[in-house]
Amino acid sequence: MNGWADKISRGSDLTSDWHAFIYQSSEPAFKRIYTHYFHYFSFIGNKKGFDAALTQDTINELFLYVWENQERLPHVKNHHNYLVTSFLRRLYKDDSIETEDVAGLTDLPDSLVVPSAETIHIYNNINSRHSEALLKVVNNLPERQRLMIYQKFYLGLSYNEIAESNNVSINTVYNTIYKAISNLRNAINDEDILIFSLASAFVLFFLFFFR
Amino acid sequence: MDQIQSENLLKEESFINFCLEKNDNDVLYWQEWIKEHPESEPEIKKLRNLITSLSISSAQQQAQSQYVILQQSIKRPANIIYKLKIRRLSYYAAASFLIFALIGSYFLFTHKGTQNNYSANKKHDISPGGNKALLILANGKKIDLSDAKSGLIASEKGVSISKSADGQIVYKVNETSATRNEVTAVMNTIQTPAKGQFMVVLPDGTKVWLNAKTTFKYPSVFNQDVRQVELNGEAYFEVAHQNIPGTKKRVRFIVKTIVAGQADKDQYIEVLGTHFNVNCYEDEPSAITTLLEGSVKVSQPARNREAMLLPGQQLINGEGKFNVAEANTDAAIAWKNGDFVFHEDIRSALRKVARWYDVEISYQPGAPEHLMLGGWISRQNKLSEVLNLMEATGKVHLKLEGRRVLVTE
Repeated sequence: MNGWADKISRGSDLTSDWHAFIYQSSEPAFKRIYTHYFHYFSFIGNKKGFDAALTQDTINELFLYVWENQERLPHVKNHHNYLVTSFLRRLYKDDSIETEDVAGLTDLPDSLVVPSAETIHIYNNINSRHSEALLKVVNNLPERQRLMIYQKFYLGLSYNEIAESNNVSINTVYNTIYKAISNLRNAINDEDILIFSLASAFVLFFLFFFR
Repeated sequence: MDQIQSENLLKEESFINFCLEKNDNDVLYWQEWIKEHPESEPEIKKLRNLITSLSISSAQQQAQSQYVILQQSIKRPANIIYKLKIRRLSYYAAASFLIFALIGSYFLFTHKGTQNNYSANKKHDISPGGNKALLILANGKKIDLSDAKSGLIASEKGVSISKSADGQIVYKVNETSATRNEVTAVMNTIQTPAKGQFMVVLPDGTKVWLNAKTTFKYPSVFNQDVRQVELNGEAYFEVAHQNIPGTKKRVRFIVKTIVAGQADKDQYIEVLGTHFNVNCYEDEPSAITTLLEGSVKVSQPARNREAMLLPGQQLINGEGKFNVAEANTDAAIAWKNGDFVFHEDIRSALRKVARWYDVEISYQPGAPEHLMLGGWISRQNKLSEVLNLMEATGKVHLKLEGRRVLVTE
């Protein structure tokens, strides 16, 4: 599993990737753009009360269109506004949504879905044994549970929002989240976690004093 | 602090906001709380580490699995989709012309009985193939990929093998310096049965689609200077570009294939990064390499032969020939797009049918030796529909008996 890029990226930081995609058809650039907006759009869709699966389908429809029509897109000056507007038009099934309306619909800036520096720091310092255990735990969960873990721990949605977007009871969401944590706890030796949290506390201590 | 308390903590929205630093007030509140309850600090640290780790791994997993689904619908680069669509139209036109012509000739020339024969085939019909394959690891362990659940299915020597939600097999070298050096290449094999097809993504990002009755061997980790795989059957490759570390030199990708009737005289197809189809079944008279993009070199060292292909060309190796010819690329990769495009002799067409429906073809006395077919039909149809299309030429009768197709005049 790859480390998470340290640089905190926002949609507007992806301009060079957008150009590489439009002019050179670069797939890695396309994937970076996709990955960023996948999280952001999942966040918007869920916050606005849309069904989680519908939101994901809408994201893929949009990016399929973008991929297949890349020759037509060089006129797009601001890829961020373009993508957000197109996404909302598809999500609300309303073609009259204009770029100017977008600000009102997205009182949710994309910086909200970028993990905090501390989160990235902790993640990038997990050793490989742990990241394998993590991958296993995440992969062994049924699709639906993975989605809830993602909504809770990455998108930071409330239990209520998750229950609604998946059409399940709040208790189901609680149980899923708790089960995932205890599975992971069993998979990773307790001592390892302790040593590792001490190490990160140590690093934090230095960061605090030598900033 | 015990499990029950951590369960309660997990229920607190503000606690999770604190862990993920989503809300400044919650962060302050929990920092104060920890100060007042120093005894629970280690437990909280643990919980926080678990939550952060799950946060990023679940995000990577979600984005990756949805991206794979997106790729599945993209399948081919846009410019080719465009070309295909136009050519497709001509297939539809050709197919509908054929159908009209045949309906016409049916009323003009037909003998009674053809229709009965067709509906008889329909009674004991055979369904088309699907995504099926067997993965054989170096240690001999066999994994049925058709049944495997999505998720991690095996992990060996620093490489994890997982199945994505849409059924693809994805190889991943665990990218930690510690394991990277320990990784040793072992040979893995994927076999598709009759009625099977499968797609796999190799550790270098190369995508390989396998047609029915195909055996494909590849190392779990590629060498840094050359990537070599082996094929017996039919596969479509989209080879990823890869540079030799620290240089701008491309790493070669070599497919070693058999050539029917020429045992021990393997053929090598060498590329840097391109799209091509290889058909090298034991029961086909020739091994055919068809190039769609880029360039490839095909060689047969044992016979001291070599050829370079340009996009749109194919190399036919077999029956004493080693010829480069213009290719019908759509016909060559039709199988990958879920279609049969018949542009060939009926015997060749029926070999394809036999592999996809797992039937035996039995030529009765009087069956036509050579009959050129032209037509298009989806591979999702039941066998009777395909046989019906062939029968529509009016020059051959095909009768399905159990798992045998009897071919008569």
